[in-house]
Amino acid sequence: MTRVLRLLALRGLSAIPTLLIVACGAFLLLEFAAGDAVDAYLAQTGGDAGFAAELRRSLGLGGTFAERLAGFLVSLATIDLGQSVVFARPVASVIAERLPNTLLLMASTTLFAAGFGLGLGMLAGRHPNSFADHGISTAALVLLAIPNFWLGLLLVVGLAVSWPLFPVAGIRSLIGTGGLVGALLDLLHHLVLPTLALGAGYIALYLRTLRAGMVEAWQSDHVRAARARGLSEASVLRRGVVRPALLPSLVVAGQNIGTLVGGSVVVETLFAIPGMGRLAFEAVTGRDTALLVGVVMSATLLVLVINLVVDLAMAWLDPRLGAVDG
Amino acid sequence: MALHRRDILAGAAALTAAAITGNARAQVAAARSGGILTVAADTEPRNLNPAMVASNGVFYVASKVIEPLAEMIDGGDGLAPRLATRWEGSSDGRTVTFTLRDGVSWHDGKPFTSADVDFSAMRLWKPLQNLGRTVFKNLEAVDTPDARTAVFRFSVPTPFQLVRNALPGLASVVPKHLYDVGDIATNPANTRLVGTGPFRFAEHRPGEFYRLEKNPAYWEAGRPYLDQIIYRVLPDRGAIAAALEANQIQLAAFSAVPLADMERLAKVPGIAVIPQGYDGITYQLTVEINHRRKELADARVRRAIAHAIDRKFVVDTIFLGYAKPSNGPVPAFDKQFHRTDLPDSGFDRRRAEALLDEAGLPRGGNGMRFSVRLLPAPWFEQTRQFGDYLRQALRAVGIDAQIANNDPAAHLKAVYTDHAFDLAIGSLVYRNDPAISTTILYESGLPAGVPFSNQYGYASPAMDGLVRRAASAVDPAERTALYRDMQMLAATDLPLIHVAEFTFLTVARRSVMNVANNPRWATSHWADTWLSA
Amino acid sequence: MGDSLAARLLGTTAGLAGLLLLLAVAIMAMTAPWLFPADPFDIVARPLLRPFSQIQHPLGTDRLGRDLLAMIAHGTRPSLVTALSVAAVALGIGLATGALAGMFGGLVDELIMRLADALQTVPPFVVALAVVSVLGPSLPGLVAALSLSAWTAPARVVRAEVMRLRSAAFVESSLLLGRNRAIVALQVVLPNAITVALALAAVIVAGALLSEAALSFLGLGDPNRPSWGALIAEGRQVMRTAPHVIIAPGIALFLTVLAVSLVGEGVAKALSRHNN
Repeated sequence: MTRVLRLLALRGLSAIPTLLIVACGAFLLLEFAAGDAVDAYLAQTGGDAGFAAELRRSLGLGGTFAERLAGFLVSLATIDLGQSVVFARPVASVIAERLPNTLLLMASTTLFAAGFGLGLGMLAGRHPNSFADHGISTAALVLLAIPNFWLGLLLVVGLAVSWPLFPVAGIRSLIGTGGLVGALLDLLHHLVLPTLALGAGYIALYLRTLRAGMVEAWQSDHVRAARARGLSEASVLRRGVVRPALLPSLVVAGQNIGTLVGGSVVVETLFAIPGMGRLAFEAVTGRDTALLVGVVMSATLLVLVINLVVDLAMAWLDPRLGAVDG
Repeated sequence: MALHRRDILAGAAALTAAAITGNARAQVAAARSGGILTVAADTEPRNLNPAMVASNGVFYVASKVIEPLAEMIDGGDGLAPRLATRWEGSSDGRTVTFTLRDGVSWHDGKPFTSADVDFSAMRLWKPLQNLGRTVFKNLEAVDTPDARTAVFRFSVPTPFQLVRNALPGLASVVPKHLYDVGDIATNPANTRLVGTGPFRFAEHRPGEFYRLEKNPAYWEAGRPYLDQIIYRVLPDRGAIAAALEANQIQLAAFSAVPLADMERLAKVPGIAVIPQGYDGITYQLTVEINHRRKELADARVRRAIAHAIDRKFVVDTIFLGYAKPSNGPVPAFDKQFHRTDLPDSGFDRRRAEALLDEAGLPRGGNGMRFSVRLLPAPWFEQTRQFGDYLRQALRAVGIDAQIANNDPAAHLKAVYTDHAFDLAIGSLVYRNDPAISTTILYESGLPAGVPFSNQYGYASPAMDGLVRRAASAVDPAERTALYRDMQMLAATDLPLIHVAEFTFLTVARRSVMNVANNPRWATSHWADTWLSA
Repeated sequence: MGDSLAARLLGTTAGLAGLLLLLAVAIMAMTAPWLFPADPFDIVARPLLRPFSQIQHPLGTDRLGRDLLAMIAHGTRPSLVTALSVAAVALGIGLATGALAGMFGGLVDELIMRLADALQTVPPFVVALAVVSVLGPSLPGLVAALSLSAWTAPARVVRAEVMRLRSAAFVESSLLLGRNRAIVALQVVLPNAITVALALAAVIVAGALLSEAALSFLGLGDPNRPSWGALIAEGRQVMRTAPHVIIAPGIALFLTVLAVSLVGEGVAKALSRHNN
C-alpha cells in the first residue's frame, strides 16, 4: 500500500513540470502565430478599425507580450483555465463537454484493438512460424500501413453512403431514441466506423506484442515444467502464458495513449465528432490561447493518468516488478 | 458541361416556380403544418446576435428568431415589410420615418415597441455592429413620438437609398428590456436569442446542434408551418453530402455540399439542387493586388494579369457553371447600379505577354519575369482552387507565383494588417449598395487592420473624389450616376481584378417546400417553409 | 554488423519484399522529374477523367484536370525526404542525448529523461499540428515538429543500452586504464547502441510518412508541391463522383509505408539472428 502511495506522490510531483512545459509551449505557440483571436473573429464578420480595437480591448488582447505573459502565469498559478474566446464560455465547461466523446472513442478503440489484437496474437503465437502465424503477421503489417484518415474515407464511402449501414457522422442521433438502452445502442452505432478507422493500426500493435510474449512464454522453463507435470493445455495457457504475455500489452496500451489522442484529431474531424481533437484544431484556428492551453494540459493529464493506471495495474498483475523505480 | 448545367438550372427553376405558384394554392389547400426540418450548419458563431454581427453565418440561424425592419423580395421595389410596415425618407436626407407593425410581441411575452428600435439602432447597430458602424455613423438620434413610430435623425445628409438597401441585413431588432442591463457584448441573450420571429430559440448543444421551435404567438396568423428547425453542426462538406443522401438532414444551404457533387446529387431521386435564393448575397471572386510592389503598381501589369485569366475556365471548371464571369465591382444582379459597358479584359495570353514586355519586364533566364507571393483566402474551396489555377495561369505568361496557404486569422493579418502579400485571392460580399462594403475597397487613407478594405496601397484622387461625393448624394439619380462612374474608373485602373461573381446553391429534399422564394432566402425567416408528407 | 547484417536482411522474406518495394518507390521518386518533365500542376485534360480512359493520363485527372499520375509521382520525393529527415534528426538527437544520459547519469540523465517524459506525454500529432499551423508548411518546420517527440524512443533505447554496456567488463577496464569517458563512449558504446537504434528507424520513418500525409490531408501541407495527403483531401470533395482521386494516392501512401515497415521487420529479424 505504501508503495502505491509513494508511486502516486512521485508521479504527481513529476507531472507538474511536464504540465508547466506543455502549458508554456501552447501559450508561446499562439503568441508567435500570425494573427490573434480578433483576426480569426473578423475573418467571419469584417468590421472597421475601431471595431477591431474595441474587440481587442474587451478580450484582453490589447497589451504587450509581457502583460499577456503575466496574465497567463497568474491564471496558471491560480489553476484558472479562464474564458474561451471562440466559445465565449469558461474553458473548463467547453472541455467538460468534449472530453467524454474523446474518452468514448479512445475506450472503444482500445477495447476493439486489444480484443482483436490479443485474440489474433494468441492464435499466431501458439504455433510460431505456422501458416496461420505468417498470415496473421502479414495482416498486421498491412493494418499498420493503412493511413487512418484514408481508411475512414473508404469506410464512409462504403458503409455509410453506398451501403448505408452506419451513420455518416456525429456521435449520437439528434432525436432521442427511446430510453437508456436505445441511447446506448445509438452511441455504439455511431462509434463503429470511427473505431474501425482509428483502431485498425492498433490491432497490429497488440497482436505483435502478444504474439512475441506468447512465443517466449511457451518456451519458458516453468511452462515446460507445467506441461511436463501434465497440467491441461487450457490451464497452462491461462496461468503460464497469457498472464505474463498480457503485461507487455498493457505497456503498449500505455505507450500509445499519446498517439491515440493524436489520431483522434483526424478521425474526429473526419466523422464530425465534437471531441478534444477537433477542439484543439478549433483552438489553434481561433487563436484561442486559453482554450489551447486547457486542451493540451488536459490531454497531457489524461496521458499521465492513464500511464499511472497502467503502472498500478502492472504492479498488481506482477508483484515482482518494483513499479516505483521502473 | 453547359448542357448539364442548363438541365439543372431548368429543373430547379421549374421546381421553385412550382413552389412559388403553388404557394397561393398551398395556403388554402396543400401547406401542411408540423414536422421537424433538419438542416446542415457548418459554423457555430460565437455571438449569434444579428444586431451586432451582420454575417451570413449568424443570419442563417438568427434570422428565424430575430427579425429585421424589412426583408428583401424579388420584384416590386425589392423590399417587403417585416417589423416595419412603412418607411419614408425626407428629401433633405436628414430623417427616415418608420411605421412599425402592430400586435407584435417578444418571445418572452413583452410587447414590441418603437423603444426597441431606438435602442437597437443607437446602442447596437451604430456603435457595435460590424457593418452598421459605417452606414449608421451619422445617425444622431431616433425619436419615438409613439409606440408605433420611429424617426431616424441623421446629422449629415444620408442617402435614403442607402438606408433602404441596408434594412434587410443591418436592421435586426433586439428587445430593449433584455439588453438594457449590463454590458451588451456579454449579454446572455447574444447566444440564447430572444426575438419576435416565427421561431423561438430552444437549445444549443455546442458541436452538435441548434434547435429552434415554433413561436405559437407569431404575429402572422397560421405561421410558421414547421414545428422545429434543427441545425446539425457538420463542419465537413463531404459529410454533409453523405448525410443528405442518407436523409439524415433535409437541407444544406450556402453550397455546403462540394460543387463537384452537385451534378450527381441532382440526379438522386428526392433531392433537388436549387441555385436561386442568394442574389441578395452575391460573392465576388477577386484578385487583390498589393500596389506597394513596384511591378504591380503599373496598371499595364495588372491589366496583363487580368488578360492571363480564363474566366470561362474558372466558371466552368472551378464553379462547375454555377457562377458568372465578372469584370467590375457591382454584380449584374444589382440592376440599380450595375453597368454593362465596362471594358472587357478577356482571356488573351499574347496580349498579356505584350503588356508585360511593354512594362519593361522581359522573361529572364528561367523563363520567368518576376515572382509573386500568392495568398488564396481560406474562405471557400473555390478560393483555394482558384489559387491553384491562377498559379498556373500566371506561370504561363512568365510570372512565377508561389502559393502560401494560411488559416483565416493568419490570412487576415497578412493581407489587411501587415500587407505581406503580392497577390491575394478574396471572395468579397456585395451587400446591395456600393456604400456598404464596396467603396471601402477603393478609397484610400484607411488605417491598417481593417479587413476587407483597401489595404492594397491603391490611392487615386479621382476615385476618392467619386466615393466622397456619392456618400452624401441624397438624390438617387445623382448617386447612381456617381457609382456608375466609379465602376468605369475601377475597370480601367484595375486596382483589384474581379474574376467571377457567384451565389450559393441549396441542396434539399424535395419534401421541403417554399425553398429559395426570396433573394436572401437562407438568411430569411422561413415562416412559410413547410414539409410535405 | 555490416555485410552479414545486410545479407541476413535479404534473407528474410519481409526484408526482401520490403526492399524491392522501397526500391520501386525510390525509383519513382527519382525518375518523376524525368518521366513527367512538365509542371505536375499543369492543367492538361478534362477534369475528373477516369483512370485508364486515356493512355496519356493512365490514372485520370483531378478536379482541375491535372494529371494524377504525374502529381503522385512528383509527390513521392517530398514525402520520402520529409520522412527520412525526421528519422535522421530523431535518431541523431536520440543517439546523442541517450548516450549522454547513459554515460553521465545523475543530473544530466535526470534532465534529459524528464524532458523526454514531457515531450512523450504530449500527443505528438497534436504538437505537429499546432507547430505546423503556426510556422507554416516549410520542410524544416515540418521536420522539427515531427522530430520533437520522435527522438525520445531512440534516446531511451540508447540510454538503456549504454547503461548496460557501461557496467560491462570491457568498458570498466578501459575506464580504469584512464581513458577519457567521452572517447570511450564514442569508440565502444555508440557503435553498439546505433545497431539497436537502427531497428527503430523504420518505425519512425513509417510514422513520419503517415503524419506528414495526415497534416497535408488537414490542409497544412506545402501547396506548391504535390502531396499525397493533399490529393486525398481534394479527392474527398468528389469521393462519390470520382473515387479514384482518393484511392490512387492512398495506395501510393499505403505501399510506401508498407515497404518501410517490411524493411523494419526484416532488420529486426536479421538483428535478432545476428545477436544470437
